[in-house]
Amino acid sequence: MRRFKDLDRFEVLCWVFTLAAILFLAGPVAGLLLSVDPDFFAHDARDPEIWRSLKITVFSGFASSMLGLVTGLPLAWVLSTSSVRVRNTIEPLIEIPILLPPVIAGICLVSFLSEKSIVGGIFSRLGIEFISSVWGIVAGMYFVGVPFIVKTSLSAFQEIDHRIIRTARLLGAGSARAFFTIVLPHSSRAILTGFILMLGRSIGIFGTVVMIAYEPKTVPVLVYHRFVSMGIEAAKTPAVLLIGLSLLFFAMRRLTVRGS
Amino acid sequence: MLKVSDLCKSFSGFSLKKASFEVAEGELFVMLGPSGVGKTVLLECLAGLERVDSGSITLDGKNITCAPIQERSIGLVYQDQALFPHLTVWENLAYGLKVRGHSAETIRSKIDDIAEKVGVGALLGRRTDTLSGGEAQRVALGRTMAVSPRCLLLDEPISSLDARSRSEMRRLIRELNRAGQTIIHVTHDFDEALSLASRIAFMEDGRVVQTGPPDEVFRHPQSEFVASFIGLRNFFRGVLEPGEGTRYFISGSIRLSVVTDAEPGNGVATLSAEEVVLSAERPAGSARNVFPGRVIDVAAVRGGIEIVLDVGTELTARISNESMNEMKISCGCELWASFKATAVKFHPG
Repeated sequence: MRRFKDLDRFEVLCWVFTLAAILFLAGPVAGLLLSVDPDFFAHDARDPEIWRSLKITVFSGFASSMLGLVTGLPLAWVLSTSSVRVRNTIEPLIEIPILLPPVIAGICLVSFLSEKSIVGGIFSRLGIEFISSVWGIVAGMYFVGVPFIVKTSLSAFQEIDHRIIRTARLLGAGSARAFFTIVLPHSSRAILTGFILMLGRSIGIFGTVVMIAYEPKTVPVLVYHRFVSMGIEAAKTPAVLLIGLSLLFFAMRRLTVRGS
Repeated sequence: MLKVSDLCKSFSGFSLKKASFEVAEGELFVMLGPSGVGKTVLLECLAGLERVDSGSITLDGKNITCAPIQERSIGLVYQDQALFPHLTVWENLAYGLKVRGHSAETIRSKIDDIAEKVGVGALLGRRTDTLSGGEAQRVALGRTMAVSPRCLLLDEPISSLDARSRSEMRRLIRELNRAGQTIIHVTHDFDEALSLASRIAFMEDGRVVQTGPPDEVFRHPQSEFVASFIGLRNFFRGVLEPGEGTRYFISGSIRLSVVTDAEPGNGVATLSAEEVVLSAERPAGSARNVFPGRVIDVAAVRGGIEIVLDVGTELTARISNESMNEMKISCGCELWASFKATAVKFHPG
């Protein structure tokens, strides 16, 4: 361990900026948690609306992330096994939801999924409405979250020595068998990381979801609603619960990283 | 048993150009050629991992050119083993049997059997990343043998190993072959080919240019390429006698002095044609091997003349054009051939 007096001027400067950045990152969260009045929180947290929105958020988050696995893994597998040209064409498309401002993504989805559009019309005939429904929330979360699963699993798939997959085929495994017994276990950590990242993104997304469904309210929407209609104190209660949920996922992600 | 006809496959870097050869049941067929002539691609085509452009592959009379990988009964072991890193040694060995739906009981007894055969019985519970190169290669070999392939393809299985594991691996490959396994073994290593092959095929530029038993190929290379790849022209099959220091190698009617610490037994001895010195009188030098003989062939080759003498067996010497002119050699001449004991290389096998 080096002592402070051993550091030269540049290193001291780096440390100053490091501490400033950490303070700015951790400070607001810590500040919010410290400013909560425990009695008010204990009373307010019993509001059934908060629990309803927490349930909707967690359910939609898991549903969209599961959907993300089911569709994102085959997509990543196709990309990892296809030619460079195909990959270079499709891979940038995956990044659109990451780069697109969430509100704009919401607008796109509303016009894509409303019952007046072709796609929305088809679903509407099947009895599935997206606007102001849990389906819409799941769709919005899926749109902004699935790139995380595709990106993390794609890089894991690309790392696999193709000869071990070929060997599995030679030993008698069909392509599906080789995928499930060799490719998936080999990439499980990356896939889990992608799943948790998508879950975190889904649960926290506000802009996209609020455009599709102001009701039923997810927790971020509820925080916004309470903030504009009841003031900041009322917004803190669901905010603190959401921080707790995010920290839980954050801890899960650290654990999966530590394992490697 | 396996017949390959006019196989073509073009790749960005190189191509197979009408490669044809045939492998008989129980053979240990060694495909020899420098790196980058398409040996691995050829194996991958046989195994069905690469689609061929044209040509045909038949196994036991059945055309398998376009058969799915898992229905070919061809096993392939890669040079770097390609073990499944998330599975233990036992699970690696059992993989093929599991996907073929064998019962747990059958798998267990079969794995015990295979593990003993390839000598990995003590490693079954180990993770694959704790294995040495030689151990990993045995596991890879056992994993493929477990599904009893009709034909076993080995892609440079020995090149990446240390000297000790090499000779063990060679012995294992020979044992598997003796037990009846048909093997196609690919290598760029001339010694490896000598010590293993029952037949050798030479690959040059995507083509199979010559096939035959090792002695024939080495005595009568049919192209400049094969001759230069071999680099030496004298090949003797025989028995090494026990002893210390300079020992005797008996091949037919002749007895060669060799310096080697190899185990006594069957093998081949090779001698570079450049090492053989010709003289009109019996030489008085220190050479341990001195034979009188009669010239039976004289041929001009690149950079000199090759003289074939009958000394009880054929012995080829390479001399310069100047020496040729000075000595006035022609067919029927009686000459003395001599070479040092250290010039003779012994290969067990």
